[in-house]
Amino acid sequence: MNGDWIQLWVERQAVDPAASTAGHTLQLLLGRDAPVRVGRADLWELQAEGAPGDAASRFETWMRASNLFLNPNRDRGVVLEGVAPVPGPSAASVVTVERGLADSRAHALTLGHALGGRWRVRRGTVWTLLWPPERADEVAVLADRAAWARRRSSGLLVNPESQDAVVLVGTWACPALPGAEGGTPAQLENGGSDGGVA
Amino acid sequence: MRPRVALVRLPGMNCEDETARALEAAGLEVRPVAWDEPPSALAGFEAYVLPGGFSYQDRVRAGAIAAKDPRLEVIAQAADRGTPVLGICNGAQILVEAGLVPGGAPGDDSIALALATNHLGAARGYHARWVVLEARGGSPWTEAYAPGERIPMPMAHGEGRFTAKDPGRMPLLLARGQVPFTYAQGAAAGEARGWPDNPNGSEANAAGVTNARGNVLALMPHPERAERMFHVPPDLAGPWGERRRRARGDNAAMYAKGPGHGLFLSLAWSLGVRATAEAG
Repeated sequence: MNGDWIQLWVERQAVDPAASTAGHTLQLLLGRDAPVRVGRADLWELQAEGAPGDAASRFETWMRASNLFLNPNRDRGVVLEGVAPVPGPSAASVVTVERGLADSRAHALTLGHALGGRWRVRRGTVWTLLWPPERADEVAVLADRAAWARRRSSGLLVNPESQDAVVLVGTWACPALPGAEGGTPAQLENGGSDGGVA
Repeated sequence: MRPRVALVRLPGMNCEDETARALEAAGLEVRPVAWDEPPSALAGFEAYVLPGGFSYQDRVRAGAIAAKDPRLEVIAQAADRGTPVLGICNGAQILVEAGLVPGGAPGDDSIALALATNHLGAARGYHARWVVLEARGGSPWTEAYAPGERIPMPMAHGEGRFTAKDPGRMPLLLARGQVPFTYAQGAAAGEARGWPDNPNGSEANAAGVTNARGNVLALMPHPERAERMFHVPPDLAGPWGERRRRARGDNAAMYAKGPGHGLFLSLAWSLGVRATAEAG
């Protein structure tokens, strides 16, 4: 974890239907070049200013009791320690956000009320794509083909007309969601974009 | 013999029946074609309609999975030949994700537009209510409307914001006549001025966008839900609301054609139908 950012990874405890459908569709599109496994997770990235105490541990305690970021009956949540739970060197992470809509003011205000200080909360999706180990050298190219929906006949996970994304291979980033340079919690206190909840 | 229209049914669509009734009321013959029929079952129709709903549960993105369905190749080839294709709501999302709208040269399957999450000022997400559209002239899809006519219609979607990475693209499509329906002001004359006239933040106030040839239309509001007068809310402002209030207690007037009928009539006219199946 970067000193400024907290990363929360939320995925389904059971099979994720969107991930399995994406995997099947990529098989139709890419044939033998398709990933053998597709996973999906919500990625929350949070920044705190002026929150008392250890913001990360206080956030985790509160988050697990609140249901605001995950449903404990359905989801599994992990506060990341600098790396994503990605299964090995032949995997890629496609990290995507809705352009201009990643910040959630509702979540930021709720955390401010609950934990004090000013918060910035961003939300995106991580698609985890896995290929057989013998194709590890090709993962960057294959992930690019799977990710970008630039044509009807290729790509699925990101429509670049409305979404921003980064494709990470063999590495992780903190923050990972594109567009994090938008401002500090204080600068965004009157900004943000949505009232959505988990 | 009435022109045959394929009503494309994919898992999760839920507006087939009312769309079929609206097409038949305009004088067209409807043949539902389901996802478990071979793609070749879509060959030979004079028009294609993709109704609303949540195809494949809107997994990944609204319309994204359906856009990769092999049936879309058949429809795209027909569109390249000039066959009319109409997508309503989820059907519109499929056409945009499949690159049929705004489209390119024949055979070009580039995706150049998105129907993104509604952005309603400080909020976002699913939204459902009646909105007012303005029919802009010069499109086969607006033939049954007067240029500038204001058409009330329900919208119900979470991802209806026409947008593109290039900020000049939507204004360009508007200038080229590829936006036959825009959101208009609810009460006064004129273009939409943000929320609430424009319900989703759509660029260029676009409610419907066509390909360059004009034969493929992606329309976010639901004309099939405004096909009869009894669909129109009695408290709606404007002349359609006034007609609806006058129709109260008069069965024939309640079953008369509503504001959405003109869209299906325009399609029928483009296929050579001149007398509708029912008096309206």
